[in-house]
Amino acid sequence: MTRWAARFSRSRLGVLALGFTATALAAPPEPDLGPSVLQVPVKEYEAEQGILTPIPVSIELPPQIAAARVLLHYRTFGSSRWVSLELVRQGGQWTGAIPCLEVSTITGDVSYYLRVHDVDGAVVAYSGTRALPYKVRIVHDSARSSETLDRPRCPDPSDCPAGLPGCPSEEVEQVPCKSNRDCEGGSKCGWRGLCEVDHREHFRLGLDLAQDFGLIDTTGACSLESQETRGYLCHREYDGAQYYGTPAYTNEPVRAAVGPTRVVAGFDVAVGPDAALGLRLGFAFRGAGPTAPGGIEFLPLLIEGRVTHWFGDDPFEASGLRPFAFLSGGYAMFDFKARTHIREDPRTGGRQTGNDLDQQLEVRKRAGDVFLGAGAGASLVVWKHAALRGDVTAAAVFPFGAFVVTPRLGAEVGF
Amino acid sequence: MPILPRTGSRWLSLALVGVMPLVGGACAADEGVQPEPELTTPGVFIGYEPEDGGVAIIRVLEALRFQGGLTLFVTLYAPVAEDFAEARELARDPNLPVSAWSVMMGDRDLTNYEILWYRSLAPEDRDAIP
Repeated sequence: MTRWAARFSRSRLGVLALGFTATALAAPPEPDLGPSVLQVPVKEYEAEQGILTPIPVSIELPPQIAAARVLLHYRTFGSSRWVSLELVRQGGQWTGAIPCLEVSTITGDVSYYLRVHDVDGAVVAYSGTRALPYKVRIVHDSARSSETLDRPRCPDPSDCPAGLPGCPSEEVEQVPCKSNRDCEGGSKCGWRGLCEVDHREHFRLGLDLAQDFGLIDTTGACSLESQETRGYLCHREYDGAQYYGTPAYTNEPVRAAVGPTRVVAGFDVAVGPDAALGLRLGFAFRGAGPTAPGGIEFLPLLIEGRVTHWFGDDPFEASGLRPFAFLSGGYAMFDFKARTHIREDPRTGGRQTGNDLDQQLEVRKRAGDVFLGAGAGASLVVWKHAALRGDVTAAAVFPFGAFVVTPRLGAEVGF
Repeated sequence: MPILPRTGSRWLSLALVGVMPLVGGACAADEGVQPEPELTTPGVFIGYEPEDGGVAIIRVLEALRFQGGLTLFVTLYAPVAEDFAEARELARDPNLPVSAWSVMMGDRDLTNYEILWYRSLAPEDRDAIP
């Protein structure tokens, strides 16, 4: 017994009132669940009840225990399943009964124990444990003692609506909890504050193929200044020579451009009922452009962090189509290739030979190195914990600016 | 006919107005009057109507003002166009056959001419300047 138990055990408060209580035969392991509030004399270990007779249970708790719910957990003879019932507060006592129909006509021991939960669901006191529960011996009429023979039997089961005393009680399907220590039988305290056997996928590993598309500003893109300081590189289409002429200022439209193709590995960990944190590592195996003389070489690495919100009820259960939205950011270089128009300024005498008055140039933009974006997608479970995944990210890249749209397709495994 | 710069924006620009600040798109008002090549601009292609008909194509290598007149060193091209529109198309061909690399002309020889095109001079063009 804990110090709490010792304090209450012999006092006016710490007595569990049972008409026929039995208790553990050996010292139980003491879980860290607050005090054990039951002190029963050894002679009361033995208890019996007749078949088809309810087993009433009541407990009086010390006022220092902030009890919000008291749950009675029982198991009938031969069953491996523990059933939970909620005791009802009646003045200073919490009372209830293991229904007579649950007791049924099967002789043998019915095991039970009690746990006291506070308003947060945490277990703050207990009496008996699942490992060492109280036991009531169910005996046939022929073996009953005179003490128990006069106890009322079950009424006709057909006249016995759930919830009436002695009739099947309303089962507590979900046991409240605050942490895993409040849960038993392999269940854990879920995000909703209820004990549950967790089948969710808390982790995901994925592999995606990503294609970057960009929108780049081509106004002034091919001036020497832009090529030296803004990450642009321009080549003449007709002979492939790098352009270093003297373009006049013309308005050019924002151009759509194709960027690198990457293979991206991902890892996500669930951090809430509908939220996950993820890390992506990618490698660009296609789409790197040439580097301007003196420029920084293209680094094909992508490092991305993302926060994902999953939609739907309990989205980490592996089933069906699971849509999600996310915010992301990280490091990457984006090489984009597009075409642009240049008008040569004839007044300057021609810094570079062979430039037509108007000509088309191949323009490349090396954008990066930081990006911030948002996106959405969906994951479709195709086999057990394996899913196909697709998403689209829209990101702003800076300081070498571009607007990047990246569709990704891949597969993931949850575990 | 002046050679007009291309200033029209495409549908993509319209659809992505919200994106423009992200990528630094420019406004139409930013663009001023575009510089046009003139008769004296080295590298300019000129079409003129010679006495024997058609439109001849020349390219100015260098222009000199001398005693109130304009002296041009030009490259003379072999094709003769039927009109200025055809001459304008021909002038854009970087492999237009040359008739004479360097010919001296006065502006008085160009009674009716139009500026066809411009291309900055290549080293071999400059080598032809006497």
